[in-house]
Amino acid sequence: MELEGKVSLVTGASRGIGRAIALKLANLGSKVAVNYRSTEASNKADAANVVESIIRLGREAMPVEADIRDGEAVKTMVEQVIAKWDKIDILVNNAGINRDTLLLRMSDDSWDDVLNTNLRGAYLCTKFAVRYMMRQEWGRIINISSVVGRVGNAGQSNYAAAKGGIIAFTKSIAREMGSRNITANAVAPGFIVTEMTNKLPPERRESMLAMIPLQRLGQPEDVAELVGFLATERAGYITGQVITIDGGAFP
Amino acid sequence: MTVEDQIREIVARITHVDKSIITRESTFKGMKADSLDVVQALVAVEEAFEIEIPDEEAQKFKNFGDFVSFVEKQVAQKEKV
Repeated sequence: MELEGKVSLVTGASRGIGRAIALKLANLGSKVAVNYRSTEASNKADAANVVESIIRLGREAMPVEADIRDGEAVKTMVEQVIAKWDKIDILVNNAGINRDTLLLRMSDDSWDDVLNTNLRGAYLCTKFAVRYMMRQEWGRIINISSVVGRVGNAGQSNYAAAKGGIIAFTKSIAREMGSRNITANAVAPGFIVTEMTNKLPPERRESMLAMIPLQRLGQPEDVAELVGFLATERAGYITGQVITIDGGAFP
Repeated sequence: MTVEDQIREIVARITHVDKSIITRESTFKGMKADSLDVVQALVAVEEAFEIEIPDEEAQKFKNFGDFVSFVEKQVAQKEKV
């Protein structure tokens, strides 16, 4: 069990990629705090479901509710994890939303919502969690970006700006924290089958598929596999990197 | 434990320097502390005493003694309130 004794906090872990990551880290032996936001009633039940699945694996897990846009809420969440398990070794900034529309039709609220959740949220979670990693001089920060943050996408300028911001943020904290044996890496998934992408029109899915050399859409588990590796000791010399996982669409 | 002793313990823990050799004249540079050590010490002291140490003030500290004096003043002020 490579992550035996480790404590992970995964944001937005009630569904999709976050859920798969939480399960993967637990599978590798980690205790997992499953963050969710209570704005949608179903999230609480979904998070409870993830916690239950982890406990069934024989690992420890706890649900932690927090709107990661809110500094006080993030601080409380991190303190909850510390109170229970005394440390945080692995932080996965996964929580993200999208409000896709072309720039000319974009509302300021859509812009702010996406930037606040996807970028500010990652900043806040990292800021509060990293101090515990610094004390123990070991840590893994894994930020879920997107291939869109590298190459851009029409109709997703807000999402792309946030995800591109995540990449620059990751590279900066990798430099800041390297001397404390804390690595920071970004994972940039391509088209992954989740509720978020299921909302897209079928023709968009088809056109995406045509661009993927491996000829299939990605699964949340594909991403979780990479995140799991980055969390282990084996990935200890990798930091400040953006690793794309997109079936080869945007090398 | 005095405020000074508490701060000395925090700084010693973070810089991995034996606390017996930290005097009021000691500097972070002399303790071979990097910028991250300094920030970490400031945050730890802020948390321990529930005070705020603005960056502008922290930049004025020439040595450990200055750091201690500032915190002592903040703590005294807080107790008055």
